[in-house]
Amino acid sequence: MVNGFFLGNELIALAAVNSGVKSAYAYPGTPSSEILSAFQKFAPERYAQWSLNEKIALELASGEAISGSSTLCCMKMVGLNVAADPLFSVAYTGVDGAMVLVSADDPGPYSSQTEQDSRMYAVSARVPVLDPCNPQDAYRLTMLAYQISEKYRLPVMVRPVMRVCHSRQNFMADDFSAIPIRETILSGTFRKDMPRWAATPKFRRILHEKLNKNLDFLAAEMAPKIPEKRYDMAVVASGYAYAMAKDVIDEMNLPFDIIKVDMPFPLDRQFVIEAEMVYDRIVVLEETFPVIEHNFTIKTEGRLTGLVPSEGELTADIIADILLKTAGITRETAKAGITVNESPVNLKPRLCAGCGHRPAFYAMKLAAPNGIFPGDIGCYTLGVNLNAVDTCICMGASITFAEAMKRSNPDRPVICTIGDSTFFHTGVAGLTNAVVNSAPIVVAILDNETTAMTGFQPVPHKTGKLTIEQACAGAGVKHIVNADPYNMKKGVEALKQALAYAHTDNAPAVVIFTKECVTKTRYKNKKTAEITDACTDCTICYEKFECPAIYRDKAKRMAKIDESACIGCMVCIQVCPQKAIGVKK
Amino acid sequence: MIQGVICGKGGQGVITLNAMIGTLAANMGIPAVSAETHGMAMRGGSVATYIKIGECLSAAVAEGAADFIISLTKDEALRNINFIKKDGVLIVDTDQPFDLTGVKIFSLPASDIAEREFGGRIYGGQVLLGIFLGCFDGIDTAKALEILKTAPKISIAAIEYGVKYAQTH
Repeated sequence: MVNGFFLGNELIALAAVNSGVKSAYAYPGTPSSEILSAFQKFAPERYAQWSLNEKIALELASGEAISGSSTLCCMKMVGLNVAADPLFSVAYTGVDGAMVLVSADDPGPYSSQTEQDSRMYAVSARVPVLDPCNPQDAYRLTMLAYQISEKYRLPVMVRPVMRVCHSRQNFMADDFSAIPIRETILSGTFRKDMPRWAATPKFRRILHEKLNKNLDFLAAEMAPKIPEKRYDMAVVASGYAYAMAKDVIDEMNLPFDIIKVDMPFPLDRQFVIEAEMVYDRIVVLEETFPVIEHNFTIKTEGRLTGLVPSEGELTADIIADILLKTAGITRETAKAGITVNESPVNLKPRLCAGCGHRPAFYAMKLAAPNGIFPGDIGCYTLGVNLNAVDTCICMGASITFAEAMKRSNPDRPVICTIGDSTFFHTGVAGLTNAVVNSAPIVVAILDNETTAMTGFQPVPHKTGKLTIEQACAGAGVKHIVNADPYNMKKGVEALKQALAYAHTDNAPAVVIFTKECVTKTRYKNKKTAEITDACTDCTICYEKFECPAIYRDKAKRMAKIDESACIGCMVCIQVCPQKAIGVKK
Repeated sequence: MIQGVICGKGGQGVITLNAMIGTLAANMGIPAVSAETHGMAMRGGSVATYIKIGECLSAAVAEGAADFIISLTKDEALRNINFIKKDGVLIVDTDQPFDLTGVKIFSLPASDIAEREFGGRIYGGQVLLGIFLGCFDGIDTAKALEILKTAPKISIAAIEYGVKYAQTH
């Protein structure tokens, strides 16, 4: 029995455990990462895997579900781009056990490249999708998703937005005693069914037809309920937008009925027609694309009519403004009476003090002052602050972009950066392509021995079963060098040699910068750096090198070490052109 | 309902402080919803979390609606000041004065005090938690402290320091 204050991601995991899930697969990505860790915490005896990428995770979850087992697969929405191929196909074949795919969206965006809506994938692939409004609702709808998946033998998507994943809410398992909790783990055996699991195009058409019929039945079963009519205007909403709209309507006592849509796709036609008949005006609130709204044809306002902003996260203020405007009510400002006569200093995210990525980036700039530096996705995207990340597109695109950039800019050195986890995610295929197509680029693999940005999930090469060097050699790379990023001189030398090799041999070279993530080594070195009077305040250590443990002492007009933040990596000593930094005695 | 913003820099324990308040509410039998930001923002950037204590579905706090702001730095308090309502409570870990009117301010160097009194800067957040528990009429301080009594002794001492601070300022 549980009783406490739980993250949405934890309650999704708990619902999967309570639904009898046998195996769970995921690749980490904010805001989805805590689901698999919570699954491991709640059910340590069951199988959980951090897969190499989302496509692999979804194929493994699907394969087990086709064998009659119940599975969970978790990712962030851009991960679903990687996993889209199996998703579309498994929608047709269905499953023999149960499978729920959790794809977490990031309206804002806060930690992502896009504001895409996973529900659009659900519509396009024809997979039912449930859209929870808060952590308790995420538990309820994940339980429901497993029931639907088992009943209809379909994969089902649960789409929480970041505000659901990373909200906490009080929760007691007793709150949901109406839903029976499965005692047994659902695991089956594979039953051969070639027209289904290995369907040729002819059978695919039949599967498509079956799927469409199933979706019609499901839509009718899950049709949203129209409440007893109190007002002429209604809000139709799903997900976190529903939770905010319900709170705003209740708190401000606004003249709207509110209808919650648990399942935006497939949406029952009859419900839409009825809602359009009952109400004079309908406002649709959902994130981030008009999935529900597209079903309505008359009396309806939302993103398609310009009432709801088309980009950015919805907030309580935006929703209040929309509803007040629709209702024709003017609001007095509550802020009157507060005067603020000062403004805050801006803070931007930076690589940690002592992070091994920082000196690697710095060495790249020294080795190739006119270089082009394609980057990738991870903590090390913060290399933008050091002007050492020129592009950031998607997982693995650093290496392919490096090949492309070199072809378009043959006279300039190209050094790309990719983290260890990202390298195994989608980097290996790009590196193989660079080898096969003779791309004279340098790939700097920034190995911090963990997936740091998303919360320190494990990485393949720390299992002891393979190394990054072996993967590179297997991809056909002939020049592979290891470097300690804390040794600036040797790092620059390694990069220069790699550039020379790439140029003369017309092939990619790899430099692996290995330094354990500093969040794990933080308290190991008791010594700190110290600035001496030789400092001329040239700003390099705290601006160009951007160490967060160094700041400018305005009164003394020199750099100063924040001893509580200094890790003792001593790289600043090597960076300082005045030799004004030493080890504190 | 009591709603507010809890903010600071990444790595200061903002999320922990928010979760402590929510857990306390849950254990007092009061519903609560909070919202956090993870990921990129963690690396030393601004972190703002929201919490609503009482019957509600979302943790979305509207501008000018927060009953309180708890901030682990002065800058983050100022960055989120648009959320606070007239006569709301501002609880901040800082040794700098505020040039601000229209709100009730509790500002003290909580981390410095915690380091001196309780042997660790990390307990500064709990001093702020104590102030929060002590300054709202709507919160049953005695009941909260009763529930918290299973916490480590140093944490309780830090929280009690905050409660006393709120009651005497």
